[in-house]
Amino acid sequence: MSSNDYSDQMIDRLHQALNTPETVSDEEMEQWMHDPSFNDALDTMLMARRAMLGEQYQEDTSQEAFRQFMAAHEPTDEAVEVPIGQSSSARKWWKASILAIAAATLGWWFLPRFSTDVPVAQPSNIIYHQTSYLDTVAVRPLHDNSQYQQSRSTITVPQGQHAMITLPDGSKVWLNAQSSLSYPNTFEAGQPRQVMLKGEAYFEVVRDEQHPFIVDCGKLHTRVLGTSFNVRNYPESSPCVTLVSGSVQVEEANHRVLLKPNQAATLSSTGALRVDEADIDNATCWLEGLFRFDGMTLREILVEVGRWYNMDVVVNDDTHLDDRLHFSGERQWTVNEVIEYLELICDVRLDIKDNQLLLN
Amino acid sequence: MMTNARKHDEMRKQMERLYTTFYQQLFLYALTIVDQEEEARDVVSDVFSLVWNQWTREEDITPVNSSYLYKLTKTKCLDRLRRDKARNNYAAFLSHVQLPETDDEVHLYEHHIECLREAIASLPEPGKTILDYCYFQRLTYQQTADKMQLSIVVVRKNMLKVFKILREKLNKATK
Repeated sequence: MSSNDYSDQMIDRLHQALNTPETVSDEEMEQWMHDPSFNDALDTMLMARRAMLGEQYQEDTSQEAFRQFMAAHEPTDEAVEVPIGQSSSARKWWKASILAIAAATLGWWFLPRFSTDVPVAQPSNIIYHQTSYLDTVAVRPLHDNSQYQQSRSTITVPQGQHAMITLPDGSKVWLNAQSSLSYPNTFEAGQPRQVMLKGEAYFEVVRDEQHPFIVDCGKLHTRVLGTSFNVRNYPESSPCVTLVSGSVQVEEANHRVLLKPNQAATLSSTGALRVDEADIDNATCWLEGLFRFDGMTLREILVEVGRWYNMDVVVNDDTHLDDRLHFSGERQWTVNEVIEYLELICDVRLDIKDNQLLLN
Repeated sequence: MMTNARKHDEMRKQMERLYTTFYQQLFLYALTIVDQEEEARDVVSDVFSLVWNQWTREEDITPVNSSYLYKLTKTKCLDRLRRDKARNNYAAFLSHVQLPETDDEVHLYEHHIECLREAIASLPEPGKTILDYCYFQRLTYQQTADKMQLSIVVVRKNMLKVFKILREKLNKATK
């Protein structure tokens, strides 16, 4: 590849664009995309910049960075070792509380590194933030010692966010937007481990044959020994449990079914419990900050999109609502990008007005 | 299956290895894209957190490809750029930047950077200083011209010449 292939003009503009990107127009960008020498020119410039940065930052900061990393990741792991259901001595709880406090404090200190604005939820200090791919921070709730034996915790996640919780037995739960999980602060000996879910969560349950783990979604109960599965229980759609690994028993008032990996149980509006082959990627892609709708109706897609971007959906034209589409994208996209994409794959007009998504 | 404590120790060891081997170059790579030191460090820390979380979830501590780390770093950098309205455009065409796909390519990439470093260090003047002002310190051609008391035409000519020299050095390095 001869270096004469690059028009001088392009090099000029590219150089200017790297310095002041806001001066680049959409048309210009379009042009460059179609210019074969563009990639090479860009590469050269960026590599040159990288080389010069290397000159500037000669000191190796990896040791210091590693120290900080471990400081953020040590206490959480230690705090997981709380046994189930044993009535612990006062000293053990004190130790667990101190570790939990340390974790929460350190977690708080490290917040600025991970997120821009972070709400702190009631009642206990759960910290959650906008996720991009799986970068959730695992924190433990602070327990008030005196009430510890009696109380439950409820974690509620608003639109557009995720949270990750570690339960008293070490089981991990990822909560999707607009979901809430209620669980006891201690799992009692001789009792099943029961939690209540509204919305959607992905569970990785620690195996304990003596204490089955039960997810209560109102009409649907999911009973497991130790396994990974996704539970979806949003108000406007049928509750659905998808099994990734292990085995679960799903029951409603009159039926129970035993799922194998890659199967999903859905409770239809007529009350029938149906088992189907499931697409695991579809069911759990929200964990990775992705949208993935494979053969879902426009209606279902709009609901999910509305939920993520915190918008109501208003349907002015319902002709295409039941069209089945294949859509995949990133949750980090702006709502405009998502709309553009949807308009491309389906013959509809979508507009945004007053924080509402209008289907025309 | 390891106990919790032993697994944690092993994870710590492996993570230290990753930091020692890759932190500095990933940080510089991120810095090239996001342009702010604090943010670049955040991104790399996020990338390593992701790896840590994966290890926590799985039974085995799977080794990590360097190209995977680069890819994660690039993606996270672009995420951050996109969130910021002012830098959104920039993110769009940066997403076309080539990435090393395999560990070998990462090695080669870092080697090319080294070649460029040498090439830049041995540039003749005034090209070398002009490159520094225009490209590194982000002055416009006019500002550089004023600073060095040269005409803007000379500045531009030199930038083009320097670019071609660097391009040739890179071409040679890949053969």
